[in-house]
Amino acid sequence: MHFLLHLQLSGAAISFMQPLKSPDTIREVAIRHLRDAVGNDKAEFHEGQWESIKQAVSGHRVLVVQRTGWGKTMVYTIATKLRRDEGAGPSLMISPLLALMRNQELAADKLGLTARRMTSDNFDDWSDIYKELEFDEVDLLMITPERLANEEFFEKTLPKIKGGLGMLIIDEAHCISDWGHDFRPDYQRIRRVQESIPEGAAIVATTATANNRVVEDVRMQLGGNIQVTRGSLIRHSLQLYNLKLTDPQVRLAWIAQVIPRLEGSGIIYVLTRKDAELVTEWLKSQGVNARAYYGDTGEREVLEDALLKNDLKVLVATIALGMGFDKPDLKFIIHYQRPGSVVHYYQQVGRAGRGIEDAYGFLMWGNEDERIADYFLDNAFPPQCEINQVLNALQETEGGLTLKEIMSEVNLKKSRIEKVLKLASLESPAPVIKDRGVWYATGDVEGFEIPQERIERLREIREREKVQMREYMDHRECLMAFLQRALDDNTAKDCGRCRNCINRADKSYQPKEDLVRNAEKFMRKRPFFLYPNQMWPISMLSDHPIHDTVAIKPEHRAEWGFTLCRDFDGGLGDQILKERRFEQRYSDEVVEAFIRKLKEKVSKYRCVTYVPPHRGRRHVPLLAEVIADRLGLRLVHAASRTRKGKRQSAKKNPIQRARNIADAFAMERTCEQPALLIDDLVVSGWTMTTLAALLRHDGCPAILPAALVKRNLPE
Amino acid sequence: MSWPLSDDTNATMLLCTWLGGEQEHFPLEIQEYNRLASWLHQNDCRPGNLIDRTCAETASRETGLSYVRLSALLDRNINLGFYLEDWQRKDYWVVGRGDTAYPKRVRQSLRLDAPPVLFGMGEMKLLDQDSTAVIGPDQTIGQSREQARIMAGFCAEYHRTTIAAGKQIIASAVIENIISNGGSAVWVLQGPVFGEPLGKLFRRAKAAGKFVMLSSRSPADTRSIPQEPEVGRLAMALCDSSVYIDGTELSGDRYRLESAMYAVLGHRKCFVWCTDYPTVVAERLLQGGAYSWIDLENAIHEGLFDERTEISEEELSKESGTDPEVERTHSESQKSSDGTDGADEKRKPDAGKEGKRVADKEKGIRGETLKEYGTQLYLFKPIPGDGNENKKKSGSRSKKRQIADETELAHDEIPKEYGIQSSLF
Repeated sequence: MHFLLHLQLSGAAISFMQPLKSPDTIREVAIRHLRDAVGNDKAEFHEGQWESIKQAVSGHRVLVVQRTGWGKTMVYTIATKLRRDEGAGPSLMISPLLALMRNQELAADKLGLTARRMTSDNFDDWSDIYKELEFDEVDLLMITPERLANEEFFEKTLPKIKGGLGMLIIDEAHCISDWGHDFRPDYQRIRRVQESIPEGAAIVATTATANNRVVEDVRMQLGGNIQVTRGSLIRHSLQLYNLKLTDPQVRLAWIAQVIPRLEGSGIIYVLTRKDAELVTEWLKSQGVNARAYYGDTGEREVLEDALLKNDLKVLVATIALGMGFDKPDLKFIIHYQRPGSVVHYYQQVGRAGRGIEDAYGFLMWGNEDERIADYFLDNAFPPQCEINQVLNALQETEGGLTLKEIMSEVNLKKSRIEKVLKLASLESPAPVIKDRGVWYATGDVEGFEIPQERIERLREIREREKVQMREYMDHRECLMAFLQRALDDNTAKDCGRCRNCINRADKSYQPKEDLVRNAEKFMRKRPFFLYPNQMWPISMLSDHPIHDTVAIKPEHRAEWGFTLCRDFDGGLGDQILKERRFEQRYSDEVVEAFIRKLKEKVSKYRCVTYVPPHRGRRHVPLLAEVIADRLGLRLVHAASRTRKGKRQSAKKNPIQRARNIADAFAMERTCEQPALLIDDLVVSGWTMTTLAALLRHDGCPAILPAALVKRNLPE
Repeated sequence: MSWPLSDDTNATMLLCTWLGGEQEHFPLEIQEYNRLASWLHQNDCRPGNLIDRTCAETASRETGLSYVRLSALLDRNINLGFYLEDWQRKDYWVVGRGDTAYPKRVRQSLRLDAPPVLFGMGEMKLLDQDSTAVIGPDQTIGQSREQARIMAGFCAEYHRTTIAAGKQIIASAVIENIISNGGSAVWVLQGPVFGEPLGKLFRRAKAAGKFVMLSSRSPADTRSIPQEPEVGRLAMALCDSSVYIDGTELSGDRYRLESAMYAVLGHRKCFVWCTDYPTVVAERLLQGGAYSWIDLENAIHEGLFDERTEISEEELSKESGTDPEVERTHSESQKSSDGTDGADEKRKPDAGKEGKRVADKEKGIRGETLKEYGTQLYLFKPIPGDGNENKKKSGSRSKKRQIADETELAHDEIPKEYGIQSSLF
């Protein structure tokens, strides 16, 4: 039976396949591609690899659940190659992982495939990619799921694909399932897309991390006839270690002590951008070649390349350094804080040791982990009242609103508004849609609810994951087996390599005391800059000489200021917030620390002024008085409050805050010389920006904002 | 209709819908699709069967449609999946000619000219309600726009669904006024215009079930087409009566509203509002039998709110230039699918010469009755001793008709897999 007939009998619908190639011939071609790709003339398919390729080539649906490093990429790149050779359209891969995409381009190149990605970091290349698509020169197009929400995808990308897509590849397919450990709203769309795709289309879904429930769920979502390939999840090369080092200075000391002793290069995972910067700066100060990597680093590709080439010892990264980053000789992964779940941990630690025999995974956790985890959990889903506020604003407007306009209308944080819009726009039918950057209500806004049952289910899953993570950290038996069992891998057994299997004592992991002290000092001394706002919200434009342009005029701007510390830093930040709330004035310890820092900066300033407080609060005037006295500067009571107004903390987004403070001050006296502008707590910086603009408009030649604490919740 | 779509509708969309960017293999024209549908019908197949390329290959061979083209169109399945998800999320609906939800009036009036797929947003039920179309060209004077608003006000007052066609000043004036007055509105649009976000007024009307938009081109079809006759045809297919608001001699007629109205004179009560200086277009309509608009009272007296009569197949075939024999086969089987024959009878005017004449004529030409199967009217059967025309026709029945007769099934023999689907897609 020739191949075409075979496929037709099995219900396949491939129009392009030439009838001359037998399955054996196809397999031979496929294995040749495999050998070319891995550069090994004797390479053979892993168990399940060829079967998955065959399914995809035949226009069927296949789900591949295999550990990282198994070769899932080979399945869809070889399938793409075979289908393209027979005349099918290009494959479209949807992946949340930018790093993976960059690796795919290289992997595809080895097979003679042209892979292109359209992501937020390569806008400049898009017009070339459109041309290539038009001329059918792209074999594998890669996009993020978020791209599906962009009109550009429907108006420019899809129409350019000549003859239609040949295959759909869904990476991190566990996100399709609500039961998965990742909740990525845009995967709801992928779920519906694949439901809408008529039979006979080749779909390859891959994941490394799905338990039985998720596999079953994804299998159902992708259609009953899907073939599932599943294998063992054990990573033989990995040695896992759990380290209970709760204080940040102890953890910093430990990594500074251990990293120089480790061979090769590695990644330190942190939970927030703030921590990425802290750890990087600390390591640099200790002579370690480290760089920070997070969502808006700006040079992610350069940093990835540097790590790939071992030009860096360590990359300190948030989860923005996605799972797709493939460096076979990565020697170690250190978790500075615990990840959200053991599955996330398995994924992240699984980056190490893919192509070498020995690699290390160190998991640390700190006092702040629980707070950060709770923050993410609490902010994962907006409450109904917030949903109503946003939707009502859209419903009441004649046409639509931009995000900034919504922020102006609705007193919610930008991230909360974005979350509401994202979740609502992904419902089907959606109560809101986005068109060319403007959000519109679609009609049925009243009574719209994001299914609470679903949200509750997701919350429960997250809570269970937190518990499981704690269990893992306290686990006294094989750590690798724990991870495998968490993913329903029934081949789990003791690895004989992890900390618990080799029974190492805690003592060997305590850092030196002097290093701990250094770390503590380092944390206290770090400068925190206050970047002055550059633009007024459009809704504030008026005839007033300060607000008559959107860009804040240079002659009204403050200079780059600083704060003494950040909130919830486990040290001074916590103390200041406590004193602000419960004491009448700041303690000598706080004031002295602030004055020490000011002394380094204030040589050109001649007077001190301050943000006038709300009635009854004296913290800031007293602080300014002491500073003026100690630094020998003139204290100027330059401004007063004109109205009670709402506290800035009651306003949730920068636009609301800017508007709230716009007419809150009156000038009492002029600062004719360069002045320090003192406050205790800075959130959005609009109070400082507005007062600085007024002071400068009133004749002050320069303003340096300085505050005790910058509130900086994790984003 | 419900999401996900049936295999038949999916296949019909793959074959007939422009998704944007088609360069080499264009979607099927309606005549081509009808040829394919006819072949499928004869061979006990459905559009969904074309997904299996063996069926598509045979169909291509026997219909003369290029297999490469059919195959390339069907290969757009993943692309279609993305669009369908997007449309579903934006609360559009999609119906194929084979779906029971396909608007009955469109199917009855346009028959083989009925678009294979319709796209819409809003309350579908409005498409089958008694309605009046208020239409006009693109160039108008202020007086015309005011008149359009007045007409819309009348319709709202009389709880009459109002139809507007195209995106032009008259249509906007009509739609906004009818909705502002709490009335129900149908807006026939096309492609990309159809996909634009709704303003507040329309959102509220849609939420209240008083507004529906309709298009035969998909929202992804961004081609710039100078003439959109489908708009006029759909508007006339949906309405019971219509009012033409005259424009100026400079007016264009991108949507072919005037010719669509002209085609249904005699089957819809048509009125023309014009100033003392009617345009050539208005003159033609008036000479063709349209009533001159004097005032509302007069218009009601003349039948503004009367129900429509169906256009006969013979007349339709004359207008569309299709083979009446082939068309009849289709239209009857198509008609048979909608399950509204009784309702249709009711709609025929039982008073007035014209109505009777049309009803008789229709009966004579049809010469058959439809076999009812539950809600489905499936096959047709000649009535012994029916009118002369029928006898004349029966001698020259097409092969398709013979097949249809031969394959006619007894009531309980009709295969269940047909469900309530139409026998024409």
